[in-house]
Amino acid sequence: MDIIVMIKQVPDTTDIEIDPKTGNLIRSGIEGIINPYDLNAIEASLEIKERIGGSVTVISMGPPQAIDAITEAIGMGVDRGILLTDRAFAGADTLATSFTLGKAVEKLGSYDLILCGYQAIDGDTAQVGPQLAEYLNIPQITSVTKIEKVTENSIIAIRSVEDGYERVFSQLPALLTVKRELNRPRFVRVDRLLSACEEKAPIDIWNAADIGVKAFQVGMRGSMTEVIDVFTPKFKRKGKILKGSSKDVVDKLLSELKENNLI
Amino acid sequence: MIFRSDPEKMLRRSIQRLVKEKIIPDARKWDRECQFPFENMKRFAELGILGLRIPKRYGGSERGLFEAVIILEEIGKADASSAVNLHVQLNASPIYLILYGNEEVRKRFLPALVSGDILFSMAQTEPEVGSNLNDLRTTARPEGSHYIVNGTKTMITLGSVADVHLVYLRFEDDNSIGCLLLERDTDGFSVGKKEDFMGLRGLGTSELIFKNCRVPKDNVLIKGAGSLRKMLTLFNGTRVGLASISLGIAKGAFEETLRYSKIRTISGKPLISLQGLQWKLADMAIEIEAMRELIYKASKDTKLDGFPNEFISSAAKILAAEGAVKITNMAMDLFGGYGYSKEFPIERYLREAKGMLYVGGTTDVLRNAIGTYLKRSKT
Repeated sequence: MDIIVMIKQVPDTTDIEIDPKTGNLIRSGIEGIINPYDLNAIEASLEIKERIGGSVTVISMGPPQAIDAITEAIGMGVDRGILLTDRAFAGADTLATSFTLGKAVEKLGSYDLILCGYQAIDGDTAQVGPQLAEYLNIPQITSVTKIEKVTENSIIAIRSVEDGYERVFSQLPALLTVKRELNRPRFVRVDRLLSACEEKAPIDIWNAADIGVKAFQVGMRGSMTEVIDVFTPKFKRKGKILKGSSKDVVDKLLSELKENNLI
Repeated sequence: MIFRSDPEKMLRRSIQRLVKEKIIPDARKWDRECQFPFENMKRFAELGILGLRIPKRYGGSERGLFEAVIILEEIGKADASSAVNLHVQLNASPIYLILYGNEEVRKRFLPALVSGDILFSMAQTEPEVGSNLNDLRTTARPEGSHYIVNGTKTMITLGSVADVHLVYLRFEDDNSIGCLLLERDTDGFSVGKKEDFMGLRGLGTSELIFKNCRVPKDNVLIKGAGSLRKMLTLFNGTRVGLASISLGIAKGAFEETLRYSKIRTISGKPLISLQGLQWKLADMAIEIEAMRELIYKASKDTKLDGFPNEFISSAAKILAAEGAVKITNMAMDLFGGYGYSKEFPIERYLREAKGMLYVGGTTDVLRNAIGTYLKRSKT
């Protein structure tokens, strides 16, 4: 079973602070970490590999420092990593990202399963996984909370939906996006981690030319959408004191809530 | 195009995550209950940490003292006992075995250490002679293919839990000072009084008693002419490892204090805005920076067959051990009554810092080593 895991390096939001004057995130000094959902995807891939054999490759698109995410993934037990880095990739929206990742997957050749985190904690779009499956024209199971059964050519997974769970069967190859409930990601092994920092480590670095794309197809130029502004919404609290007997106050409260479409 | 991650940064970060999720939560428990943190040692094995300095052919990753220093510093910030226990496995007894053991004994013990199946102690100190190697009273008398070991050791870190003890002693056949490996299940071996320390309470420290213990001659690591020099050179590495734990304690206390000084207000002002307290914080930061520089330099100094020299290693241990006591003391002053309370970690840091003054040789003994070095050196 050849598994590909898509990972993204994101700012460690547990440390993040917001500049009170500008409302922007203070990014300086913030460590990059593997997107937490992607850690679950890596863990799932390693568990499948341990059960039925095969190999796991991680792919990440990002600036050169995103190599740390790949190094860490290899420390966890992944066999090989590919970093897609090129100035031309910068500013990509989800469509351009999934296209770039898709091209890298095509260059890799054969695979049985692609695992992605449900979403990245910096963008929160949950779009790249599904778009990648569309690009590759393979089935997808999103929001996976449990992998029930995997064989060489099929998978059964449980996915969470708004009012419960669905049990889904799919032929392989397929793409899954996974949620945090799926598993508990393992720690890195120090020996693997240190080896992954060496020149001979199984990490490839590919640019736009390596995956056969033109600059206008990827990054900001290849994007359909553009982020115009990032801001922190300003909430203003409005206090209102309701007076009268208990019954009156409750009636008034209920009508207020209904008027404001809160219940 | 080839570029790779910075190993120091990656190593530090991965240990920090381990410490945050697995070591900090139980550190108070080990201390309160005076328990040896077996769970942590098991984790260190699972994550390839116990094999850090073991040659690849025995299942290790063959890294150096510097990598050990980074790991110990980070673990020392959370639980100095776990760090000291790990240090003994990384920088002490197994290094003797790698350098001086015969192949059969290496094959028997080193892979077992890497997998966490055995733990080592290093048994030097004796009740009557302290850590004075020249005057050791524990003896090994030859008898056929064995040595018969008799004597008592005291204050031995991991004494009550280790599976294999590296015992310093005097060989009666050539009157040399050396060491050998003695297994826990050897007839005549017993664990004596267990220590109830003020800090570093998770070391499993105890007395060891040897009564006519038969040890195969294959287990001898160092013996004969030049043995003292070999052992003293090995100490240079262990001192730096211990210094990095003191650095970790100092950094842990400092980071807690800095955080506290920003959120704790007195009459509406955070502590850190008061100039008198800023000076204390500044002094703590200066001291830590100096400790760090000296320890890192020593850990990268491999001129003596992979070991730093006795000056820099002793200097690093003295600066770090004494510095950590100063810094944890200042941390307690800044925390005031809260620092004295067991609800906060500062009092534990202070107790641990004091203990590190004595683990692996007191600072007075280390000053003697520096004195000897200076006497020998060219002016």
